Amino acid sequence: MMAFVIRRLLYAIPTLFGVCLIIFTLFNLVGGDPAYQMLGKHATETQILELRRELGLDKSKVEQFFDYLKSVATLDFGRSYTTKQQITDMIWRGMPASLSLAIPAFIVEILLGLAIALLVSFYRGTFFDRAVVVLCVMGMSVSALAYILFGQYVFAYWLGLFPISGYDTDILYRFKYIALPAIIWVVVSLGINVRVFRTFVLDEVNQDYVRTARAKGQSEKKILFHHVLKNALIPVLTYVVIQIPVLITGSFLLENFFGIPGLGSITIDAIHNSDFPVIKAMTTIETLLFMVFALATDLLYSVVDPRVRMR
Amino acid sequence: MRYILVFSLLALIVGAACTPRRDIGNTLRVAQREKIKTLDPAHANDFFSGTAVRRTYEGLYQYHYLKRPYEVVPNIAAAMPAISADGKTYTIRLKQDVYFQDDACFPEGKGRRVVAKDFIFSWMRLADPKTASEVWWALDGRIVGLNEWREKLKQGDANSGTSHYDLPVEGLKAIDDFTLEVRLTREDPLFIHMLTMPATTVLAREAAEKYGQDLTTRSVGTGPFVLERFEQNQIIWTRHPKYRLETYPSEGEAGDREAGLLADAGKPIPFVDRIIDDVISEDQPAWLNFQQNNHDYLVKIPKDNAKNILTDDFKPTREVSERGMKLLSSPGVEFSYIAFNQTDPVVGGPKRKFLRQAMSLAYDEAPTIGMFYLGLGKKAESMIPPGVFGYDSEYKNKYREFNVAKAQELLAKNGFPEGKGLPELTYDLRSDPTARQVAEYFVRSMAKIGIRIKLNQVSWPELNSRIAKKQAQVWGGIVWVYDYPDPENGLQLLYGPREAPGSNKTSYKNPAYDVLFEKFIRTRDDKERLALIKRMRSIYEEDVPWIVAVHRNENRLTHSWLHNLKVHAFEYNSDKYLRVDAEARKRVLER
Amino acid sequence: MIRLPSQSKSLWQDAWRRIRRDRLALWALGVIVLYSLVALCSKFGLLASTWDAEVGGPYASPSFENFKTIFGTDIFGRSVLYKVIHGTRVAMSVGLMTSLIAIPIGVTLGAFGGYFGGKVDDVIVWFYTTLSSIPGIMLLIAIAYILGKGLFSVYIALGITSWVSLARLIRGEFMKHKSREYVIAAEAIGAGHRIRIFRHILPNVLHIVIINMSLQFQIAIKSEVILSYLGLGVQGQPSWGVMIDDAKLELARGVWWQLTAATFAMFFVILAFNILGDALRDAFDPKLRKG
Repeated sequence: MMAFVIRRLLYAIPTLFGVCLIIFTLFNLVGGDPAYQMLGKHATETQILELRRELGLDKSKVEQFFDYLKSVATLDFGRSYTTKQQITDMIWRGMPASLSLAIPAFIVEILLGLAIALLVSFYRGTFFDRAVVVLCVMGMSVSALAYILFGQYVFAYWLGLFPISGYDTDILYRFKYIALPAIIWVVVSLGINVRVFRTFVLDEVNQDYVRTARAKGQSEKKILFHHVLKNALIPVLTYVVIQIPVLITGSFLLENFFGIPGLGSITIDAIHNSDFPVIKAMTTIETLLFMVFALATDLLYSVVDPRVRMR
Repeated sequence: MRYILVFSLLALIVGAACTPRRDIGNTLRVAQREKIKTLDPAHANDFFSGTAVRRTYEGLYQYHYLKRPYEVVPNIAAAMPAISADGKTYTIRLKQDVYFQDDACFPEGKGRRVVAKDFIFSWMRLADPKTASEVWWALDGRIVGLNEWREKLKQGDANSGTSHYDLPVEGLKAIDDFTLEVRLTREDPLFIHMLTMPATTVLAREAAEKYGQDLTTRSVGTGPFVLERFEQNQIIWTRHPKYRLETYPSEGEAGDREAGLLADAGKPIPFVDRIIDDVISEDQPAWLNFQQNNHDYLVKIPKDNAKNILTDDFKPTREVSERGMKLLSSPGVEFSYIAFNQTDPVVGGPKRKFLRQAMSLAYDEAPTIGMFYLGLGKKAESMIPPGVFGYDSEYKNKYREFNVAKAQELLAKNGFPEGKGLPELTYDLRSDPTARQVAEYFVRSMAKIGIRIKLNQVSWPELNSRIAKKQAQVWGGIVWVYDYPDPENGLQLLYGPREAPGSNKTSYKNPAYDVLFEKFIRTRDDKERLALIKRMRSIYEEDVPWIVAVHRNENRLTHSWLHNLKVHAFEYNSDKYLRVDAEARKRVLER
Repeated sequence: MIRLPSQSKSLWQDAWRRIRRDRLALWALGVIVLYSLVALCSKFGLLASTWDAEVGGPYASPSFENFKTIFGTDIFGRSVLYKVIHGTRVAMSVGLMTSLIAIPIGVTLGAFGGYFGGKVDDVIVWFYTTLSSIPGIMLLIAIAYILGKGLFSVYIALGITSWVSLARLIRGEFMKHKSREYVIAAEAIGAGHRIRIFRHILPNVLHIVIINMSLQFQIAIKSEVILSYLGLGVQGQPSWGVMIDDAKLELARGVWWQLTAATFAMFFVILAFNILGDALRDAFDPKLRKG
């Protein structure tokens, strides 16, 4: 087991290096020159030169790359070009907001998805199964932007069921603001989940042990909820774990439209302002999180299914 | 398990709907339409940051809230400056009851009295190259010794702490605690305007030393409001308990009394106890929130909401009047334009003058005002907007009439009959749906005389960068908002030595113009100034370095319970004058 | 010339037989063919070539008097129907070009990795793990920044971010197939690597490409909307993304038709690709469908 963990960790090193190289290439070698952008409408040539020196942009690219590696290692990405805030601070402040939308939405989305998947698996092959699958696909076929625009207009404004936008630092009051974006989130992702989970469940239904259980005369209900569910949970769990990084970094569109001060809204601002240090930091963090959780998934798998370690 | 899920979802919805609205009392609620980038006066260079800075930082002077044309009046200064005969030495008396807000950076956390030295420090901080201020231009080259001090820092060891702030600057002297003497490099009638800007407001040295760059999210000012909380999406301010006695103005321009703007004359300001700034960048939530009475007034009214507030002949709709909402609109001190890079071989320079004239003639401005600006604005003929000295309502720009026949003639004269032989032009614009629609309209207009244009949508900073590096060919959707109400601010935009990346973004160069401009800034006499403006106008009118487009109006939509709002183009912090009728609002909210 | 192994042929025939029996899948196929025809007609100027022309007043609501204004007009009085049609062309071309870029990269790298194994495989796997570790949307944004804006960069950006899943699948299949009898037999009679990869194994795994393409198409169409919202999308011509972006301002004044038209246009084609993709997967992999 230990050997597997170490081997898997060693594998991560070249990937990490590759990721850093790509991100650096994208943002430092070819990205724009921020000095021109930062000084605004009355800038002069000398001011621009000074600012470039201040930002370390006059250093060689190799030096800049090592600076970047250092910032990845220390997780200190310096300051934003537009807000002059410490990027690490911005991230720590934004993360709770993103999570307070993402966690409830994600839990509902997964549990509801799983419940519906089990239900349709129980009635597999029937019209009901078909109808639910088509419904899911239909749900997936609408742009998230359209859901948001309609949802906000109809449910928040027209019917007045929810506040239009906002956020509260007080966690109790926060729920009323989170509700509508969370529901939209669930609607957007439910279809995908049901379909994926249905496949996971059906994969198990086709296994030999199910046939054996059936031969022993167990009820279909019991087979589904006791045997199948237990085994299908392994791929479900993997699917869930690998999505956690996306939860942390938040949703661009939802956060922006509903005024939730999370990382998604920070990122979208950074994009609008060509704030490269922030975009770079967000990309790096999201990538690192993804790698960590991918690693976690692998380890998780190897615990529940020792055959994996042999690969 | 399924039941639990359904139940919890239901609970979420019901809980959300039933949470009671908390009583907001005497709070002013405002929707800011962009993220507040910074609270640091040395970095605030956009409207929304400027507004936030003004909540808590104050300068020596400010513009009178009600009087038009705009008039400079004292703020922290006790009176208007005493100016020496040569116009170069300003002696400014300070009020003696101005206190910084309480903050941990002061001994025992008690805010101290503001003295003349604080201004010297604040302005040196603006000049400090390490600050890398975006608004340093306000003082650049104006004060004796300040630029030299800046140069010295640049050469010396930059990491020597803050001791360089103890070095003297020749032109800045605190005669006593409450008298500041400023010596200028030249006679400079614009200097007084610089002292009204957020850039030159006063900041305590203790705060700068303790918080450094973190002043971007905190503030230690003297103003009517104190920062309570700074979040990305919401900023909350409360009344400054030690704020000196300042009163609501008791004079205004004609019509102010009738509009109820003088009802509170002489009463102490501010009126509200608290301000909540919600940052809402998307149009739809901003509009819907205002409709649902969640904000007391709305800035930047989305253009597509025109039909909801104005009828076809631009009168308030019935719904608006019934709810007591008011649309306040006043000419903005600004102009928008479509620019030609003068260093570009295709559209720039004297050789392509006719091409530019043709394009200007083919661009029909009139419909755009209804389409994009709620019908509230004025077609621009020159870069001097209404309300600024030198604005001439009689003047009609030769090339700003809509005349396709003449445009085609000029196009042929430049060797491109019906646009033949002219390569496809590139038009840079900011990524924004409205800017894109304005650009599409321009493309459609040019297509009518056979000129093909490709759009290139970029982020705002990227657009600035492309313009500064002279990479953009044609660009638009840009507005020059005057920094101060003097025509110099507009005329300098074509002054040759200030070519890109300076403020002359088109890099227009005409020696005749430059000579006149240099003469203009030295001239005090109004008649002569007017004559010079006319001569300069006749030069750039012919050269068409840009198509001047529109003087937009500044618009605010207010609810019935909000009083004292008058649109002001320079006084970003009008909010200290605003009064909310909390009772009336409560009645509406509870309905 | 060595003939294709017969199992491959029957796989395709078998799949086609299944699809033909699936009414829903046939409908989906029909919708896709219809969209493609509309896109082609628009491309060759047979349809909606005058999308830029004014057909009525600004923001005229849908009316059935004239088929041009059936979906109303936009701010300049242009026909929303024509814009939807032009948007169809943009969307289909984004889907197609993305696939044309992603498939060769994905297939080649996947095939080489799976077939050769060892060092080659290590490098290829390293490359795509690295690329897929970076969040797709951020990669898209970065590439759009670098290439400048416009349809062309949208193609490239979506193309080079979407080949990874295909490469993974192809690699897996190649690893399975390279030790099968028919490949070993081909080696025995002297077929080189190139022939074995492209002539023998590839036809047997090609169905994965088809399934993947139907998935890729709809992801590309959806991504175009997000890119347009961020201002990184199509420039100077209507697309569904641009229309939805416009609509976010218009909805509050009651102009719902542009949003609705673009959303429905998108809805049907994505729905069709989803259904067809499912049907294809079931058809090629019957094990899943039973159950």
